[in-house]
Amino acid sequence: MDIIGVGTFETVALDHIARQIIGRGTSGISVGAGLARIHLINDSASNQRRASDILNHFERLRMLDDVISAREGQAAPVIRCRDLAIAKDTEIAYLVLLAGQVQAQGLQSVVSGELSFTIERPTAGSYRVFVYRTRGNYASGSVQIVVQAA
Amino acid sequence: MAWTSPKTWTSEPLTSIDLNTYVRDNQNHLKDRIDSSVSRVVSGAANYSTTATEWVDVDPRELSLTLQTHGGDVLLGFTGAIRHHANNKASYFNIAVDDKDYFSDDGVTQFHNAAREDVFRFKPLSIVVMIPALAPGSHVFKLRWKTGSGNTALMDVVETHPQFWAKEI
Repeated sequence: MDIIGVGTFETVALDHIARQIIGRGTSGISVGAGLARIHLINDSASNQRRASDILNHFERLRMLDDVISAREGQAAPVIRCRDLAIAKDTEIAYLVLLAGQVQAQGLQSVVSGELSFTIERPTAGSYRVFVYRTRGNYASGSVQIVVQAA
Repeated sequence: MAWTSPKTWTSEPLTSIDLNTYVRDNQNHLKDRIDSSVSRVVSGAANYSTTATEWVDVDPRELSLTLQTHGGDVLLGFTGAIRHHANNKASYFNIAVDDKDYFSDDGVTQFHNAAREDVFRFKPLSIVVMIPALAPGSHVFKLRWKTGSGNTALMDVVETHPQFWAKEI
């Protein structure tokens, strides 16, 4: 069964989030023609709901920046999110993409409803950092980071 | 219009019934088969991509063909450009006929990239397959794909424009 969402989706990030949230219940995702599909191989009601939530709340978290410009060797870029959806969360997952490839992933603490963490020692390139809830509505958000060579 | 095995006349008179059955209707049948084809050319603002490790439609709307056939063989073709996010990975291609995968296991063909530089380059993929002895009626043909774990397969629809076609032969 495919769960379909309408809009613009980053393939690697959506695949990562879907696999983290749904696990072996998904065989992957497809993106194209203004749609994204999460392919469920276990289409239980809970997996259908998870897939719908992932798609419906993709890129819906309010990030404090859309694009961050940085330079190698200077101040580390700070990823910040403040959104009512994470007000009661204690941690949130993150995914760092460099030129579309996964560079890092993990969990970060949410303190008083706000997420703030740094990308340490980034090298020159175009990054996109996604954060996403691992519970509730699985909402996500992203920040673009452009790092120029020193 | 069904095909009727041609009659061999001997000395009997020509009748309108025979002429209509063996000449007109059979010619119509042959003409209908010649005319029976469908084609889609895909364009888009963003490329198709998939991470699916099980067969999925590439695009259930744009890369789906409905063809009214008259019974017999159907030729299908696809030409497009593919690349991967990860190197040394394969993506696989199949044809679904009336929502059933026609080729078993890993499908009809695979696309493989080996060199690391290949992840940035689209490369051509062409498929021509014959579906023999298809029953007359309306049939739906879809292009399907899947890829290896940890890979993203991409199909260009922005700079080049894949064509998917079907023709009764």
